Amino acid sequence: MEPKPRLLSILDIVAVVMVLVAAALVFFYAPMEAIMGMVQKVFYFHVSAAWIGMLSFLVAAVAGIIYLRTQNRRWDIVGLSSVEIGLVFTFIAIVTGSIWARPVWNTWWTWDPRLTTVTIMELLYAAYLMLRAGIEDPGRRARFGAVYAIVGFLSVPLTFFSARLYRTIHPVVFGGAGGELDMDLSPRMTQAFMFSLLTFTVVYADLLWHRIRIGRLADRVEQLRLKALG
Amino acid sequence: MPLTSLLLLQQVAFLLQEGTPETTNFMIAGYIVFFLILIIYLVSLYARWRNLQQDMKMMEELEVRER
Repeated sequence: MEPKPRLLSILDIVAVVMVLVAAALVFFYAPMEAIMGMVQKVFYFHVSAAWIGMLSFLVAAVAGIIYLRTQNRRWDIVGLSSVEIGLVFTFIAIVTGSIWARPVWNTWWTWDPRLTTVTIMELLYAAYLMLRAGIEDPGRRARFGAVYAIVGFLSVPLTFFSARLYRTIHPVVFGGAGGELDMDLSPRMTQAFMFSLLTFTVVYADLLWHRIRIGRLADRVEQLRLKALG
Repeated sequence: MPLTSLLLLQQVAFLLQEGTPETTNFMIAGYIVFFLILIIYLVSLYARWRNLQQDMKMMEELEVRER
């Protein structure tokens, strides 16, 4: 197995430092929001996690398209890796959102359009992993994964626009239709938020690279196993 | 009146009456959950990497023996 690339080691350090700086900005630089209190600060990592979830599923869909065109197994590994990371961060977004909602909406959960669609999206991609696990032939598994990731991506814009198209109590951060609650961010809040988004994007790139390496190693082990079985 | 405007009015009224609510515990819980899930995922990545390396080593040894 090839040694860990130096650039990946540097990226690891950069990602860790950025997470620490982002946390410091959230706790010490961004002001407290007057109406919600300290729980509003959950927003910075909650939205960033949701952003990574959607970005991951987009990358998986693109990887699926490229795999179907090239039949190169590497793109299947990229797609699988990206879906897995997307699932983790979407789950983080759902749970942190629920924790934020408890004091603000006085409930842990409501079947609001945004919450409902993000749950559907999460379950769709969880099914992707489970269904892949049931296919033994690597080629078939990759083709299935590619098509599923492309079709499954339809749930992402549905989730994103759900808070803009339908009546919802979920806040809209980047400007919504008239009458919807926009989150008025002060300049410091905006700076902390933008840095959090950037930080999470770097963390995603780092995790994706690591997960792809694991995928390639798993692929090689599987090939050796199939070879040994004859 | 839209639901979100009503909600905002309610929050402003609450603020005028009660001041900023004390919600620090929820913020702490949110960040604990975030770091916990992330750490669990990182540990799982490391464990999978280690197991695969051991499998790889075993498969390579088998291949050498068969030759």
